[in-house]
Amino acid sequence: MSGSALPLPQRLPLLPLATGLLALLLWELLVRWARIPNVLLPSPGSVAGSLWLAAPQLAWHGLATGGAAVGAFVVAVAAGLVLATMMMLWPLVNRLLYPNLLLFQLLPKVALGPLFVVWLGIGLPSLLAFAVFVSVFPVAIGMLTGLRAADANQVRMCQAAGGSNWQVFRHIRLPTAMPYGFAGAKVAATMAFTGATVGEFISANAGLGYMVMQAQAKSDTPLIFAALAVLCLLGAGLYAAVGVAEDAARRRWGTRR
Amino acid sequence: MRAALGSALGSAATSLLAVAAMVAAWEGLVRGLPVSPDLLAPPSAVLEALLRHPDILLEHGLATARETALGFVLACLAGVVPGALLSTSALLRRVAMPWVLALQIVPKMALAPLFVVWLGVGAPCRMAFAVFIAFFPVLIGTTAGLAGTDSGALRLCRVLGASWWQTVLWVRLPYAVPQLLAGMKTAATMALLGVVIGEFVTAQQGLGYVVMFAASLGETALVLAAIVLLCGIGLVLYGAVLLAELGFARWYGAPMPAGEFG
Amino acid sequence: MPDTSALASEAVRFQAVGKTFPTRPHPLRAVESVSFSVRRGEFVSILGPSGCGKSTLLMMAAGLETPTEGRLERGGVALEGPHRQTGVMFQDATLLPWLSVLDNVLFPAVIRHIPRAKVLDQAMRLIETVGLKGFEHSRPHELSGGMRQRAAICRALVLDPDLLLMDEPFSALDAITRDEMGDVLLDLWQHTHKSAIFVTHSIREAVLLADRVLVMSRRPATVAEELVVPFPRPRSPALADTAEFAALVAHLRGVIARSMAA
Repeated sequence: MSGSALPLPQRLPLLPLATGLLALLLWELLVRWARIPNVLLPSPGSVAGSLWLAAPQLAWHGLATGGAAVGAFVVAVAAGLVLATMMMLWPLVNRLLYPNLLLFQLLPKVALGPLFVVWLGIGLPSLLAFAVFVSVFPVAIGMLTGLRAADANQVRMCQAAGGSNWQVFRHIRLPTAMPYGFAGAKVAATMAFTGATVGEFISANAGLGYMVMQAQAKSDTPLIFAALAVLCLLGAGLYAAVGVAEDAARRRWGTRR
Repeated sequence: MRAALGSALGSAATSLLAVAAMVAAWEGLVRGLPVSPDLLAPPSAVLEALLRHPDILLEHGLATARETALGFVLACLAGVVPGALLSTSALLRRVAMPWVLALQIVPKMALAPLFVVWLGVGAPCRMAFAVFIAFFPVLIGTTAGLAGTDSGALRLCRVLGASWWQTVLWVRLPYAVPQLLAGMKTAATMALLGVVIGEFVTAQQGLGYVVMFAASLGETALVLAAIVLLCGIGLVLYGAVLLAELGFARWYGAPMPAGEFG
Repeated sequence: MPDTSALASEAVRFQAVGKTFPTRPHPLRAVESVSFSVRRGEFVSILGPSGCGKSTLLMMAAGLETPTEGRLERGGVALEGPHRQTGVMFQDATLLPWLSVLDNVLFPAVIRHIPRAKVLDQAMRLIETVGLKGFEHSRPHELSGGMRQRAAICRALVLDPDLLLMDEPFSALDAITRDEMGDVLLDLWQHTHKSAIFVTHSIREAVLLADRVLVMSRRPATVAEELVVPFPRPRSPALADTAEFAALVAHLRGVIARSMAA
């Protein structure tokens, strides 16, 4: 029932790819035929031109954003796993943290971005902290849900066999929680890039978000598209990497959904 | 039902207590430690900021609330209609769903500047962006809800010779509503987020603008005051959907299947 | 036994009916050249191992599946799709969770646009017969599995069909409830004299209820043996405790074992 985890396609999706290419072609033709100004809607061709011309800057700023996002993602996953484990093992921690976690889920967390700038100044620390902040919640909540979803009979079976709390956790709860944890990590992958980019919108001197704001100020729409395309590719890349890790983990531990 | 309500109230009380404890700790911490109030304004200063700038906060708060509410309603329409269409055709799903899903994988909140390019810095830009951010959970909720009808109930309809319309009205819709409402709850939060990010990038009006503006001046108390109002707007909208859900649950009369999308 | 000689045509007739599902990579042959008919007022049990294709047979009789070969007649006319005069029961009750027991029983009338007042008496009578009086306004989730299946019997009979099709209707119930439901059905059917096809893998149920038992082979399903049940009507559940009954059950067990080995 975890709608937030989107499955990766099993086969190459030919039909959607074909319609996507067709849409690109129609887009190009529409822009040319209707003489839509580049500022409003650049044709795929001119976006590709921008990608080519601005490749060095895109690579540099992409590295900045990608590095920040991947770093924040790693920290968020680690922190989320630790939080969920603590909440599972110690009821007091759970009672203290769980209501706050749920409340934060309802709040527009991304809107808190400027606060991080106030606290940590413009630069990498505030950007990282903000990106971690927006991406840690899905991991923690997903993992906690998964740890709690363990089959009660399996837990009882393990306890009856003389299993300790830790063994129940290790052999029953953790395997059950794995798909949930990965689902949370997939959302976190997207959120880490969202956090990094929105952080760069607010204030930054590097990164794709910064580049987009600069291009917007100069009305260089093809460059906005190019930067966003790179950003989307990077985001999808991290998401896919989590998917690959999940597949590997499934093969290794033989759990199936 | 009563026990569930009791435990819900109990957990609400715990959560209120936890929040109150956090606020108190925050106040004590800021007063006790040599932290500059500019860096972390204590709750008392936030309250004072709320009272000191009622006109600014009210004006911008109303703008944000209006755009969020409208954006939410439009996002629901933009999710329900295509969602229902998608549920009718497998071919349509095969063509469109991968793209809709791909859109969720990419950091779509970063696409806000595009909307500025297309729609300028006014309310239409922010609302369109909010719709863009928030429609997806509604769409998935609609499609999953309509597609997830109990197969036995559908077979029953076929045995009885029910028409397409009868099947939709009597069976598919009631089965779909819980998931649709779950999608709408997520959409409520997302719509507010869309408007606020829109306000960040358009820098024209709204609480998001106040947050940015106050942050640039180092007025931490005002930043927090605006954020408190933002949370209020978010919770009111979320609460409205929650009320609708409770009303539906009363009619439904049975434990509803849970659904969550985000 | 009702006088069947006055009614020339049969309720259902299978003529060399076969069914192949176009599954990939290998098509699934579910039913192989099945021929039999059910006279008006006759109760026929179809007995066979799980997954042998007997449910497919019943779904074809219900008009939910079309045969890939042969001919299927309903009252002397080729069957095309679900028939108005057929009531169907499935393995689970498939009650709609948001409707009361009474509204669930009346659901077929809603679909067929029959005014509620016209069938209300019949519905209440059926509810009383199966022992659900006092639960008309309960929701399905408040009932036990056996009570839900009782409601499903009422729903299948509420429009007074002349043929009742049952697909392992009691297989999801515990053994005690299951025998109880068999008795309820026996009592109900002996008062109405409808034609019935009853798919089951319980030999006791099959023999107690039926005028004739068809034993199916493994997949693809064919009629391995046909056996007329010699016990006179009206029967009582006590019949199941007699030596003759036990002998017949033992005989059938042997037939099934042989058909499985073949």
